Amino acid sequence: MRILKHSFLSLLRKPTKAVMILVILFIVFSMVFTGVIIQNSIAKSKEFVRLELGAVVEYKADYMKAYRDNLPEDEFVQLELSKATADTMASDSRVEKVYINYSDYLESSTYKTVDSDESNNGMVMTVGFDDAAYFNFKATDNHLPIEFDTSKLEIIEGRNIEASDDDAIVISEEFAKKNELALNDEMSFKSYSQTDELKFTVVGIYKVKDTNFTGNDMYVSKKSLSGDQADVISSIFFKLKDPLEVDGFIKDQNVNLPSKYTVLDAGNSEYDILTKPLDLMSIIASILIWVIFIAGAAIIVSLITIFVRDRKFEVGLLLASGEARYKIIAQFVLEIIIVAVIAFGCSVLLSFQSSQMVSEWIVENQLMEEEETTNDDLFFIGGMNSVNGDVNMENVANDFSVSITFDVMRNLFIISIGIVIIASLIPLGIILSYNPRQALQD
Amino acid sequence: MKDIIFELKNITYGYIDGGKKRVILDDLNYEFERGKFYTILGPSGSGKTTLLAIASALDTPERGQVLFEGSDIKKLSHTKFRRNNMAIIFQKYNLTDYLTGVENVESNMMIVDKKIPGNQKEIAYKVLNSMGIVRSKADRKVTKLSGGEQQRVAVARALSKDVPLILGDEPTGALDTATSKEVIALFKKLVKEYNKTIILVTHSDDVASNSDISLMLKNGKLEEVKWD
Repeated sequence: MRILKHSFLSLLRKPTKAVMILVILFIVFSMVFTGVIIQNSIAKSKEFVRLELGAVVEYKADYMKAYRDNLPEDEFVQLELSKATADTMASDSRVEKVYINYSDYLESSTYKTVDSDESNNGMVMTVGFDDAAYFNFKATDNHLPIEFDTSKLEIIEGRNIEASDDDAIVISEEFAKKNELALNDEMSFKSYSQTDELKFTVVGIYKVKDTNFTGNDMYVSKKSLSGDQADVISSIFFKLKDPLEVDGFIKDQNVNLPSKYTVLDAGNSEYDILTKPLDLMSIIASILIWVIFIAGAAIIVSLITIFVRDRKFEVGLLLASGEARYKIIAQFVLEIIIVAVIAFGCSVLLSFQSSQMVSEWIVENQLMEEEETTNDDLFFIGGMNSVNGDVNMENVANDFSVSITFDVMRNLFIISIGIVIIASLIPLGIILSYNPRQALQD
Repeated sequence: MKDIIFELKNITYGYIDGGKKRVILDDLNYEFERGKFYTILGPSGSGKTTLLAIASALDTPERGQVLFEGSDIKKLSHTKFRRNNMAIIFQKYNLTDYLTGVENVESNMMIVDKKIPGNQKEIAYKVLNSMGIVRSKADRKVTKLSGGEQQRVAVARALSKDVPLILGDEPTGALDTATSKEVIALFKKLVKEYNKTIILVTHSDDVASNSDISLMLKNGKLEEVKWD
């Protein structure tokens, strides 16, 4: 009771030094909090990019590396994808599904291709001899093709491919229209080597929901692919349970890659490019936080030392009256905590305002300016798998907002209060080590 | 048989001055009886304040023991001894400057383990009133009171603790003659009616002559003074 009463009375009746401490704490806390809030917002924004990119990791050949290294043709085996490796990685508890894909190019001079506009990759179709066209036939082990699972494509008529199908085919809506095909129609193609005639029945029609797809892709079961390509894996995708586990999964599973010419990719290049300006801001914010934190802590310790030393006589008086040392400590620490809590509250309010301003500046001057460059970069890096989510710098800029979690706030509070408590305990410890007579001497 | 409340036993205290050891209290021994008013006289620098600081556990002797009711105060714990068994009045009032007179007194009452029953603030007002500090003055911050009034608050603060031993370092030094006489009369009343033991350090022969036993601190030892 005495402690509480005297703490408040001291602050109210001798406010000068308390106000000085309050102002310093407010400035230091505000600057540190602004930095922390921005860092937290940046972390959230990076999380947003990762969530938007999705939870799909592709195990694929690194052709660029092979090209750069001039990999001899007889060593191209190093580029092959291994089912055993895929099985090992699929046993990771973070994996929800694994898609092992096979593909083959089949020829037809009967069917017209869907024209791809310039924005599409348009790499799935090649015009062959005698105006014949090659179509990309895709098959997946066990599951539905990942394009359907990730909502890039959607069945609008009939059904999807099943593993047990012998001659079923799923075609795009655009392709069906262009070639006047409907469900249950028969289609025939020639194998790449022109040796086999493969016949299919249309069991489903899909709608393209992503501009990365042209509508020229045909989906069949694995066993209906022509024999020579049926066992060559074209791509392997792992769909993870949580997009935020992608980085950890890649880090842990990299050791299982059979050669340096195979990689695990979850749109890493895109992620790196999109998050580059965020990382730069995060580094600047981090430096700012530490510089202010260290300088601020030194100033706070000095100021509180003056505050406590100034009241050495009062400490001596309380000791002379028989007050327990821990109660004297409690009184002084309580006073400092009251000041620190007020400063903390004000700082949090100001920090939201100031970090809002800084974040607007980041969006205007860093993210939006980066948008054009980034899009160019993304075009040149290529290799981005078609099933990852679409995200660009504009999305990142639109999503970027000041945010702070309760955990961060709680940690900031604990650290702030911890500093002022330590700053009070140092001079108090020195004064309380005196005997009361020494403490009472001016 | 003497009822000894407080005993200084083989107290030795000194300090280094110019490279030389200066002994202020030299194997000092004295037994203080319960219900007696003592004054300690001595020239400046004789060690009266040091003796009082050791007696009140504000400082510790190099050697020797301070016994309260037969127990070494070190074993009782200096803090608890100061809290529950004694009160001290300083030469320079030593009040908490941001508190009012009544708050200073009340604060001291709040520290003791065994509190006087009743409304603490009202008791504080009563004690202050007995020292001539009326309620309106008691509610002022002590820095707004005169030196004499502050010393009376300091005396009231000591008296507000219901303890058997009261020590004072020139407690009437800042008081005018009339108030000083009132305070001495109050001390005598506390001794006679409430069986308190009061030990004051003073320069004043007048104060000393009012005490039951006057002691002279000379050559680091206490000697009783006989008043003619």
